[in-house]
Amino acid sequence: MHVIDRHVYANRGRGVDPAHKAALVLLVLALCLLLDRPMVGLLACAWMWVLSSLWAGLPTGVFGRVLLAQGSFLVLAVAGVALSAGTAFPAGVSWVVHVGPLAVWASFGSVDTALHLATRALGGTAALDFLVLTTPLVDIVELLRRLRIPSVLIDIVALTYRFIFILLESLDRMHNAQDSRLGYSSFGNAVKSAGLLGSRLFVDSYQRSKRLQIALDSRGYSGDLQGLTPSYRTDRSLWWLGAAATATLLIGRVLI
Amino acid sequence: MTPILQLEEVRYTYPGNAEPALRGANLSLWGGKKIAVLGRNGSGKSTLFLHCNGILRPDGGQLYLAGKPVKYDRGSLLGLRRHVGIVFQNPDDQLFSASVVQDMSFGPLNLGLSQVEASRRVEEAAEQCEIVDLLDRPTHALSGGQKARVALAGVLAMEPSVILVDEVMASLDPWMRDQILSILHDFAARGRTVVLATHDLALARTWADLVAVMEGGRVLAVDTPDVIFSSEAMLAHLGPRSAWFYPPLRSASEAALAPQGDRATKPVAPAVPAPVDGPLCEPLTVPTERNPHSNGSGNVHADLGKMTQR
Repeated sequence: MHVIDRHVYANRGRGVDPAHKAALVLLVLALCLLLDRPMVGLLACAWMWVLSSLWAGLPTGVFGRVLLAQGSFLVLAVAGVALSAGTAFPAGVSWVVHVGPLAVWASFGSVDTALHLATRALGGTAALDFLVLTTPLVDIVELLRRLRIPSVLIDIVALTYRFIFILLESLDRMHNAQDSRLGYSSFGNAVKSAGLLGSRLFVDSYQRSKRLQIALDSRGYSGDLQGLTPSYRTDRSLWWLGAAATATLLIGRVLI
Repeated sequence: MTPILQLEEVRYTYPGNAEPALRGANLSLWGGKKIAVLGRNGSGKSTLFLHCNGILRPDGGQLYLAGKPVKYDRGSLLGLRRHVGIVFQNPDDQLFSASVVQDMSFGPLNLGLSQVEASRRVEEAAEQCEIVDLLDRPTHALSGGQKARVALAGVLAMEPSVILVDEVMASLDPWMRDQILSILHDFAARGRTVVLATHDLALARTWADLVAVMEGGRVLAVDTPDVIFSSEAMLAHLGPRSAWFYPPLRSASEAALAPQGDRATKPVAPAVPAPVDGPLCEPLTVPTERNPHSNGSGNVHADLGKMTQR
């Protein structure tokens, strides 16, 4: 969360119209899903890394770190597709490992399915990561507004985002207050303190929401969280890069 | 000439509370004045502020905006809030948006202004509060002092006639505090009214044109700092020892009669603390029996009584 947040406000692609970035991302996402080849997913990852590092100027490691975190979940998820386990294994499996009375096996077919799934998901994730790492939530909210999403939903998104940070700060403060009075000195204490913290956080959030309502009302709130429409710039180079990425993915599908 | 805002015998009890928070508060706010509101915790300062802005509706009494009674329908409330802005104690309660510029434009757009006009006001307020370089920053990445200035700017952008500032100084460093005070001073210099709730007596005495003292849900007195700080009765309301730090002001004739150089020539014994041996403080009296009602020492109140006698 904090890694993304730190970079999203300080990259070269920030001021570019979010609609352009979102269009590119949706195109790549669609290609990954439709073309359904491992190579296409990997090429999409590579392209998104190039775009975020070279075009948006993010530090080269950031994109990889974020993708790695998501990738590790993905590996766990597709492991279940690739591998099967049981006391007896069917005929025609390619690899078998015996663990005590259990047999763990995989076949060419299951590994191929897993590979397709993993690369397809990874390509799509990389595309969305590019959007997330270069577009602050304020701009995404503005994009949703342009897409005529009901304003109630948009307001909930915007407030939730703001409150994540307020809640994290309260959590941190309360945890420190408890810790400084030995609230986490033993396992028993820690369990008790964590429980108290959870219930207190709920009360705190409730009171805070009342104070927020008062503050909004005092500035003439009338049911719509209005804000100035930001102005964005258009970057032609993103269009060329997008076209090149699309071409590469299509060529990847044809050749491999 | 009528005051911009006038509260007449305002009474209010919070739902579920037996004790009223305001018991007939009177206050008139005139243009171009800087008013400090002093009073103990729970004396009704914040409740009074919430009435000025129409957030709370009095159980009894009446508010007048430019001489006209305030009605509590949608249109009148918007009018009241256009003229009276509140800066809340904790800026995190006030800043709801993820971006500074979005938050600051919220109030102006609610007034029905165009995007162009709202953006002009946001820029102007940002310049006044010296936060132009923060406009594109996310709200959660600001420091405490920056948040306080953004919260103030968000209210200034609505260009109110009266601005109520609730205790924001407590958590600010002197530098930041001075900056906010000078913004408020400029605001008052343009014929508008600043009302500042504070516990800082020195600030009230030096900065304010008028000081209002609240106690038990009433406004006891509104007068110039010289008058308030010359009154032993008022100082007694502000804390038993306030009079030590703010002795009643002497008139010029009295000051001229006082012996000159008295203090400079008189030798004063240096207050050197005795060398510390052993523990730095007295051990706490440990009650022999487990009694939650005992405070362990019987003579605390007697000591305090001695200290407050002058």
